[in-house]
Amino acid sequence: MLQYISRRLLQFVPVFFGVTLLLFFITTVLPGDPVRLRTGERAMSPAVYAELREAYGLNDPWYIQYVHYIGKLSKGDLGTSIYTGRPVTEILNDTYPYTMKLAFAAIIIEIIVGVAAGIISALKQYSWADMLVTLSTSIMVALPVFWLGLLLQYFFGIWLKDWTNGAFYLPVSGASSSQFPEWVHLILPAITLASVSTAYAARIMRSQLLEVIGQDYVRTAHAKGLSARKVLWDHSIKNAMIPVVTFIGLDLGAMLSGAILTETVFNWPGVGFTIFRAISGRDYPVVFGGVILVLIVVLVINLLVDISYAFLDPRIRYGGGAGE
Amino acid sequence: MSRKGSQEFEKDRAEDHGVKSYRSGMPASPPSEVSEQHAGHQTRTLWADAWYRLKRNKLALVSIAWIMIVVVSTVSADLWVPGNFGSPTEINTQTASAERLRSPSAEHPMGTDDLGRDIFARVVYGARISLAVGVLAVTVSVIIGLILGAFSGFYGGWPDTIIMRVTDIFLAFPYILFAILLLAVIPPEYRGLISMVGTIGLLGWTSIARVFRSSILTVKENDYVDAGRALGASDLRLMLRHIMPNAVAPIIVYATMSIGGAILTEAALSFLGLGVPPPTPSWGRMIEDGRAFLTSNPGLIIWPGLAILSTVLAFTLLGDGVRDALDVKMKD
Repeated sequence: MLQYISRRLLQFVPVFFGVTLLLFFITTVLPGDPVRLRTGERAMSPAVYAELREAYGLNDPWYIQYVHYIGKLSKGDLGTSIYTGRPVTEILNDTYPYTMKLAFAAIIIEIIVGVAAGIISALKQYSWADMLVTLSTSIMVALPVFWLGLLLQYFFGIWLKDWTNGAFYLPVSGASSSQFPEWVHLILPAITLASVSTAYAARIMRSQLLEVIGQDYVRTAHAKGLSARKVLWDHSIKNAMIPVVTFIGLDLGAMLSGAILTETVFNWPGVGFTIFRAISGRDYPVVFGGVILVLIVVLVINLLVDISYAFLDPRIRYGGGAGE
Repeated sequence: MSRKGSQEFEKDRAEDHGVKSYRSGMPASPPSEVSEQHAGHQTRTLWADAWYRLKRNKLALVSIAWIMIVVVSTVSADLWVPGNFGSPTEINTQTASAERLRSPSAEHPMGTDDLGRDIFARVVYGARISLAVGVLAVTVSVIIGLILGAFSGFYGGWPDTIIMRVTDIFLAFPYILFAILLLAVIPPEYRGLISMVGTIGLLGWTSIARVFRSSILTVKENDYVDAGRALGASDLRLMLRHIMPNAVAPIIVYATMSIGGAILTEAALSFLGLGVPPPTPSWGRMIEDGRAFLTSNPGLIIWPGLAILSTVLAFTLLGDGVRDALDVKMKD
């Protein structure tokens, strides 16, 4: 197991350098000039301009910039934002908690709704509930996420407010306001972010459970006189959950990497929204810092998911060499 | 990194579909069909057989019909839309202020937008971008994915290692973020259909390469491949004549399903302002433009959204149908 983990950690190295090199390559090709963007329309003497470019190291070729950047990164220094002058670590410190809150709220919805819908749908196969789950998951997978967000904004923020004469509605933008505590602000973005994954979780749960129920060991369990409840929970659902847990784990990684669309629609001040604005503003240090943070989170969570797989399913043993 | 993880995930999704179709008695291979086949002494090719099964899948047929309606109406739009509903792009400065934000009526079945243009006309024309990007981007992904997947699966060794490491890098990079970065490189005046197709195509090849690689790994163990090699067939001939035809079914299924995904990505990127520049109508851009009028005129975002939803759903269901028809387990 240790051998497996260390081998996987070693594999991080090429991926890490691959992504950061690619990132550097792409952003150096970006035409916009961050120095001009920072100073706006104001006239600037060529001397000042040259000095600023020099100060940010923008005159060096991209690979020199890359080496400098990695050097600073190894000391935990992500540079400062070209736009606001704030240290990037500080910006990420402020925004990342919002991404985490959104991701965990969405995962909770996904686990409760997705798993429950999948179980009900499998146990009552071909019932109206099963039809409803099958139909709604197909539709949810085809829904544009940002459109769903806007519809929720319209329904809960505008229509419901009109209908109840302003007595009841949900906030549709930002993470805090005088009327609502933060968790209320979280409701609509979390539903939006959870939508597609919940549909997938329900589908996987349904098909896994259907497959497990048909297995011989489930029939044996019934035959030896175990109660239906025990067979369902200890023998069927427990085994059917393994792929669902994997899916949800990988999905958590994806959500923790910043939900650009959801965060943009709801003005949610998370890391996805921050990176998106930084790309538009050519604020390279923020883009790099954000992407590197997100990358490390994704890599670590994927590794954790694979390790937990071995614990959940004793049939899986990660050997030293041919394990993969 | 998550090589195993993501493969498991693909497998699980595939299993999900496979089991569903089997359980619901979809035309995977019902007994009646077998007897019918024997009774008639018909011999059908794999493709004729697949078409026969597809024809019996109602959801797939409805999807095909919807896709045909969308294609025909958008391709022929020049003939009937501007005359009846007005131009999708031109703004009539004379009447714009009087005609703006109208509710649906006989004249404007979906109402008008904030510049007095007919929303129905814009939705019909918007299908051009969505369909073109959907089909072309997937074509780009399939071409890159087939070549690299074939290389990787057929030769193994270091080309395999390198290609698989590259797919790791692509998969570690958050998808939509990667697309935004690539499109941001292109100056707004050059952004358009080609940049969109290129970006989505470039990001989609990794899954295709992996699916194809794994089906090649399975197929190339077959005796007939060894026989071909023993008879002195070249690598290229082995690949094209013996391996490819037997490994291509999962790719067809995957590609059909991917068209819907590509349409969704195009809409999302257009929504973020990185798509084909205005005034060319695209569904994602129409939703972004309509956001400002959400309170008073939700119709501005509802119609293009329904267009995206129905089209993506049609391609997804068609993909399901094709998978059942070709009897692909996608279980590598």
